[in-house]
Amino acid sequence: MTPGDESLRADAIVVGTGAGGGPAATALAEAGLDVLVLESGARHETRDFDGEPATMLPRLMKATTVPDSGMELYAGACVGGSTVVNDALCWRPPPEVLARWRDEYGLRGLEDSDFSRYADAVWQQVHATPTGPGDLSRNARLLERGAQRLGWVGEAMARNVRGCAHLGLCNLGCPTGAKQSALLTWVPRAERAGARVQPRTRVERVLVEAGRVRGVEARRLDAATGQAGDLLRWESPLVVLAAGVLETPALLLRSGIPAGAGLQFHSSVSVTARFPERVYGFYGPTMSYAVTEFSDVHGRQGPGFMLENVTVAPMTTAASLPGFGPALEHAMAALPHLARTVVVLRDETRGRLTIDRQGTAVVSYAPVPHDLERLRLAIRQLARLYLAAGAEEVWLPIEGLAPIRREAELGGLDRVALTPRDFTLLYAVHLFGGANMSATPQTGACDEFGRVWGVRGLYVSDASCLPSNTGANPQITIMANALRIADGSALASGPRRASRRRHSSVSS
Amino acid sequence: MNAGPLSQEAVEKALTALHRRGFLQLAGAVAATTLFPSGCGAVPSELVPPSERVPFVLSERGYATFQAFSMSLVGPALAREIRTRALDPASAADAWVARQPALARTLGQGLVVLEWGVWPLLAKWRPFTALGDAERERVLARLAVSRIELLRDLYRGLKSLATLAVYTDPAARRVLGHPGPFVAEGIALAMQPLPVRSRVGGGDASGSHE
Ligand SMILES: Cc1cc2nc3c(=O)[nH]c(=O)nc-3n(C[C@H](O)[C@H](O)[C@H](O)COP(=O)(O)OP(=O)(O)OC[C@H]3O[C@@H](n4cnc5c(N)ncnc54)[C@H](O)[C@@H]3O)c2cc1C
Ligand code: SF4
Repeated sequence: MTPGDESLRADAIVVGTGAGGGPAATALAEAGLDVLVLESGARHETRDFDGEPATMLPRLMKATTVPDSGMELYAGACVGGSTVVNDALCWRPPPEVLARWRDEYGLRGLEDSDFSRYADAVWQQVHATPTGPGDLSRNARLLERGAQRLGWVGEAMARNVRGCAHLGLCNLGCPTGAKQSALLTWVPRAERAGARVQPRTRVERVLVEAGRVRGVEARRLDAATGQAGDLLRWESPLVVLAAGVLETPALLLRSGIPAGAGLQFHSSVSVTARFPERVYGFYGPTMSYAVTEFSDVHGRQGPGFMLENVTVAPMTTAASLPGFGPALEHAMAALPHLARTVVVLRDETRGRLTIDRQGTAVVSYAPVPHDLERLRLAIRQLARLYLAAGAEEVWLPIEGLAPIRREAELGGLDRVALTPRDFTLLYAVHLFGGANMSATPQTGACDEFGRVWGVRGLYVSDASCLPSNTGANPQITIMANALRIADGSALASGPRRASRRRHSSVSS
Repeated sequence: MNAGPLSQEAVEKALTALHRRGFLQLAGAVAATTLFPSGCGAVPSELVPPSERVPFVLSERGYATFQAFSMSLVGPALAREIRTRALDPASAADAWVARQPALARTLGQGLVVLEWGVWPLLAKWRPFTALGDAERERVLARLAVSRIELLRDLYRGLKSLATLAVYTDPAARRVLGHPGPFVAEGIALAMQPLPVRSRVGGGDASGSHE
């Protein structure tokens, strides 16, 4: 088969089915458009999720290492995107961040009331639910106990679940179907409205002629081997990109459209502590309680990080512990007694995404000293918290540091001249930017309605169009923004289609 | 043969001068010339791949090097499981990286560096797989906090893959005291309130050790 000899048409093409693609496909389909959704990952159902990392991780996730800092980035790679592997935590869009996007980035269209309307619709659709005391695991309660003893503010975070069975497998796809990921919410809803979802179809390039989008070029991926097939051409006057931060900017660049600047993450490291009682931190919701004392959103004015309890899954725990051999064995032998918390830092660093000669994304992101110092502060505070909660031993995520048993031993942390490579595992799962919304074509890739500068009919609706990080777990903000953008693009898609408009996505 | 009067610092300085990619390419090129054997001659039998192994990207020597690294990383108890082949991290890693060709090349090169790059770290002209447990641990200790970014990357990269290969294997759970997924009593315990303990000083004096 030669390039271009399979030609398919749709009113709209959405690329990606995660937090940015699922809501966009739903809004466009419910507006009456014939929507084609192209997704590079495979489609798995709840019954396929067996809770075994060895089978689930390669099917559901992809990891990327940043060459200039050794930082690890993780994202979902299946129908439902990162929402299938995420921890189900829900925060409403922080008002301070929206204000900053309006005032500092000149995105005047991002009105609070408007955004709230979309956030409400998302909250309802994904079944974001307050986490009650019965849903707090021992792992979470130890974080809460330490915070209370130090007089720090914290709260149980809402989660998008229905009848959570506390298995602790949220990062491996939820085997009970409790987690209301895009796979179980937005994607089926879009399909009910007529959207056609094509898994295992990787979009390579956007087709542009005379300043107008004409469609995309994509390849089907073989189910058994993952091998890419021939280049196919799909035509549409409306294309919405939602392939995630590691792909949407690369797709634009491969299409000759400027992008890639302004990447920003929430950097994460984790601290592990051993308690006398059994914690069984590998069970229970993977995350559920946050110390917000040091946050700088939702009314707080701290240095800009949250501390959130995280699962004590053997692999990630071992990877974040310092040391090896007998030292690692000593820590891992205490697995049933370990608690762990992750730092979620609102980075100030800005990075860049470029593509290599094959068109593959290359991320450059070197944490600035201020971010490294705040990570040091966060680690110190977490160690203090765990000691206050009664920990017998605390491991800091820095290679070469021995575990500590009392606050006086924290001096070693201060003496390390921190570089990104000193951390056992420095990573990010909250990725933003690279195709930023901006007030002018010189400062970003698209305008405040997600319209790519200079290409009519081309939109971005995922985390890559957010102009900065959010300081809180971002899926609700991404989904709300995607609905807002898709509603606008549906309206803008012409009188013929507008007349077929059935109902707005906000009235779910 | 040993490295004579070359100090650790001098070697590190010399290596720092090598561009990161250039160094890895060099290692790859050297491996390709077969100057360093990729077969398993003179490798301890416990590290030799089983005959029924289906190789993907790791050479026999690469397999043995990864197996040796994993044993040193995880400590004696899990190393015993690797020795008896209840755990086979090299096969798991091999299958894993086979899905990512770019990573496969880097892994192969990294293992060549580890296997044949011992002398600047220990002043011993022997491959990593031929070292005793204590010497291998000394190599890891040097790599982990080396001032050379490349060597630290090598340690982190191999650690990350070895932890993935070892700790996601159900056979490791028994040693770790992890009952496995879906165990109702375990889940119930994890969700029970914490036992009330008396508090002494800044931390807790442990009351209940349930
Ligand atoms: C492990 C983990 C835990 C997290 N926990 C939370 C949490 O608890 N709460 C929270 O708020 N946020 C969490 N997040 C973050 C949140 O899930 C993401 O920020 C969000 O899903 C990003 O949305 P997105 O649409 O930009 O990308 P994604 O949701 O990742 O979707 C992108 C989709 O595009 C597809 N794709 C990529 N390239 C192509 C291509 N070329 N052609 C076709 N399709 C393509 C991908 O396969 C993927 O399905 C977590 C993320 C991870 C990875
Ligand atoms: S804790 Fe278990 S049941 Fe609950 S959402 Fe996570 S995987 Fe699903």
